[in-house]
Amino acid sequence: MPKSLKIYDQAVRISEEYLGPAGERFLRRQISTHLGIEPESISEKDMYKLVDWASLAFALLTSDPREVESFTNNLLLLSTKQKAQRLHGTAA
Amino acid sequence: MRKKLYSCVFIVLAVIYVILTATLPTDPEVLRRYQISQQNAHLLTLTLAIPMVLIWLFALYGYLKFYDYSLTIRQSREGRGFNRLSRGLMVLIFSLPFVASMSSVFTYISNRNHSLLPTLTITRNYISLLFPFIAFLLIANGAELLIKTLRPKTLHQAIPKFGLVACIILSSVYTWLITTRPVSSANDIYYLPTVLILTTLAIPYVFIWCRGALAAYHLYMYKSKVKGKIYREALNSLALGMGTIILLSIMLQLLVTVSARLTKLNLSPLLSLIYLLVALTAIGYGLIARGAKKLKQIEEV
Repeated sequence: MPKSLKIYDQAVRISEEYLGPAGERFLRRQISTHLGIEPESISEKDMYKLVDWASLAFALLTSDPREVESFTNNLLLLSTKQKAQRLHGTAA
Repeated sequence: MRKKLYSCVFIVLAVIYVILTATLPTDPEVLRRYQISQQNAHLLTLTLAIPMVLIWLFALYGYLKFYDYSLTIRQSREGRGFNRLSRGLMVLIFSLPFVASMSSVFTYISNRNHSLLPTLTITRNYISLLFPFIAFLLIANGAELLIKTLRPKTLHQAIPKFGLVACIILSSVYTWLITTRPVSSANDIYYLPTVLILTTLAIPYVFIWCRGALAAYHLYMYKSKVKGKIYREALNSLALGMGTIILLSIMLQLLVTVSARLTKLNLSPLLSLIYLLVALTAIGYGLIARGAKKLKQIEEV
């Protein structure tokens, strides 16, 4: 499975933990609007920019700052994990 | 464009209802019983009609918000379910001014020509059944479609254990109320033989109440089982709102069933009961509006 699709899938899973069926639509909107790329082609280097935009948008949906922090951290961890796996030469 | 059309049609129906309420003469028997003048009777009915119309407009607002949301997600997996819910809600809301206006006109005609009273009463009863029948079937279908988007093993919990008992109790009580109602040629609310009332009115009403209650339960289950904490919070208002409206519809129909007994009450308790039901309507549609707004916001940011 292409690594970029794997990152996208994992990001969708994280988004769905908070936004349910609307999670994937939320993520695709952030990627296509703010990053200007095909959502499935997102790579680890795009994640930092995505996290910035996604956390801003996410903060409009909840008044709980802990939720925003948790969502942001989970997406950031995803990027870090992908980078670590790439550096160690193991497939995700 | 469609939203504007719906709004215009609805407002026209509501205005027609207010005009009818303010202009059609009240039954002289009612004026005599409560010892009020025609003018006071009109003022009294307007004190009911105007808050009712304001509630209807609020309901329209809630529906339009929900319609917006269902349009936004129509291509998604849960889009079909929300679309059916939206259509059911539309039928329910548009029936409010239509049935009220029809009822006013029929009442006026039957006061002028008592021989038409049985025909108009029967017509009114069946039209009053038709709208909630269609609405609740659509709402129930929508709720089923939503619950099917969840994991398959959720479905075996789709009918509550107490559901069958509740249906039996409800149909037994309703049948008892119908068959023991005091009947005279002056205050019959059905003008049909009991067997026809049971087969063509009571059974369909109990059926749609059970379907409606099941729909409310399915929406509650969907809200509980679906992933997404923030999504669930938005759905919570919607599910509560739908449940409130379904409950209100059931209570209103039971009120009609016992209305022959209620005419023996003084005016104040009767008005209090009606105002209470109107307030419940406002709460239900308010919750739907709030839930729909939150869900739409998730799709817009």
